[in-house]
Amino acid sequence: MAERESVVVLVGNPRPRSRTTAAAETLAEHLAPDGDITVVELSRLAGELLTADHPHADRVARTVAQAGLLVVATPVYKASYTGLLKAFVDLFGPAALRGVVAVPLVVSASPAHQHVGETHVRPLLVELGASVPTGAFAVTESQLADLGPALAAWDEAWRPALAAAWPGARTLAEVAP
Amino acid sequence: MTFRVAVVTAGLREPSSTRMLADRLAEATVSAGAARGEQVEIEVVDLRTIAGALTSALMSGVQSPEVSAATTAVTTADAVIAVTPIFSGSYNGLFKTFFDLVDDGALAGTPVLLGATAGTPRHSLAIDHALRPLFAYLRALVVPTGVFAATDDFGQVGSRPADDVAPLGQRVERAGAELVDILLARGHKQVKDEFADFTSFDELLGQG
Repeated sequence: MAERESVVVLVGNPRPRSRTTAAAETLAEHLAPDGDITVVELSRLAGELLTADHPHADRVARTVAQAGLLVVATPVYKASYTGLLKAFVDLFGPAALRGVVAVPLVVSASPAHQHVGETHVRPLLVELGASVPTGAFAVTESQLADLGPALAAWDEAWRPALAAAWPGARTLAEVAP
Repeated sequence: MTFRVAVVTAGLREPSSTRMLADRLAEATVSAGAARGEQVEIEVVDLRTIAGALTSALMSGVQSPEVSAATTAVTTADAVIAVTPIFSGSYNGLFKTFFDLVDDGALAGTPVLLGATAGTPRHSLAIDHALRPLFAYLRALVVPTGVFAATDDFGQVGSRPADDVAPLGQRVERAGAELVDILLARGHKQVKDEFADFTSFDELLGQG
C-alpha cells in the first residue's frame, strides 16, 4: 500500500497560484507534515478539460485516484464547486476514488456559503467511492490571511477521525500536545 | 408577440440523449404555447460545440464572440430550458462551467425548466439536490416539474413503470405546460440596458 501514503492537493480554481491553492497547501502540510505532497492545479489542465483528447489530464487523474489523502479544494462559484473542478472529476469512472481518504476545502466570499463542502463536494466524493471521514475545512476569504485559528478548530473537531481513517495523519495529541 | 425560449444542452455525445430530452421539452413548450394561442420560438445553445471556448473564457475572464453569443442568448431569453447529463450525482462540468460564466442576477426572475438524463434511475433526485440550488442562487423561477430521464425512460410508451413514476411523455408535457403558464404570467423578459441611464455629454454640459 505504499502508494496510499501519497498526499494530493487538487485545486479547482481557474486562476493559477490562487489563494485557494495556498490554503490547500497549508492544510495538506498541516495534516501530513512528513507527507509527499503533490499539488494539482486544474487551471493548468483547463485547456484539455472539456475536450475530446486529454492525455495529460488522464495521467493526473490516475495520480489523484492513487492518493492516500486527497485535499479537494474549490472556491465557491454560484453556491457550489467550480465547473472546472467538476469537469476534471467527470473523467473518473464509478468508484474511481475507492481507497482514497478525502478532505474537502472550500473558500467562500461570505459565511453564507460555508456549507458547500458538505452539501455539494462531499456527495460528489462519496459517489466516486472516496471516504470522507471528517467535516470540510471551510473558510471565508477574510480568514485566509491567518489560517491558524481555523486549523486549530478543525483539528479539535476532526483530527481524531482523520487519524483513524488515514494512518499518515498526525494525531490530535501530536499536533496539540 | 413571440416568446423566445433558450434551450441549453450539455450532452457530450452526438447523438445525445440529453439533446433528445431537451428537444422534447422544447417541443412540449411550443405545443403548450400554441394551445394557449401564443407562439414560442426556440433557440438551442449546444454547449458541446463551444466547450473549448468556455474554458478559455473562464481562464482569461474574456468571453469570445461564440461564448458571448451563448450567454446573451440565455440571459435575454423570456424563458430557459436547461438540460444536463448527470455524472456522479450532479450536473456535468460543461453545464456548470457555462453557468459559472453567467452573471449573478442575469437570470433573476426568468422562468427555467430543468431536465437531466442518466443511465440509471439512481440519480433521479439530482435535479432537486444539485440543479435547483444552483438556479436558486441565480434567483431563477424554476418550474415545479423537473424532468429526469433514465435510459429506460426513452421509448417507454403509455404504461407506468414499476416505481409508479409517470411515463416520460406525460412528465415532459406537464413540464412544458407549467413553463408556459409561468411564461405567460411573467410576460416578456425586461432586460436591463446598462446604457439606458447614459447621460449625454450635451446634458452634462447643460445643453441637453
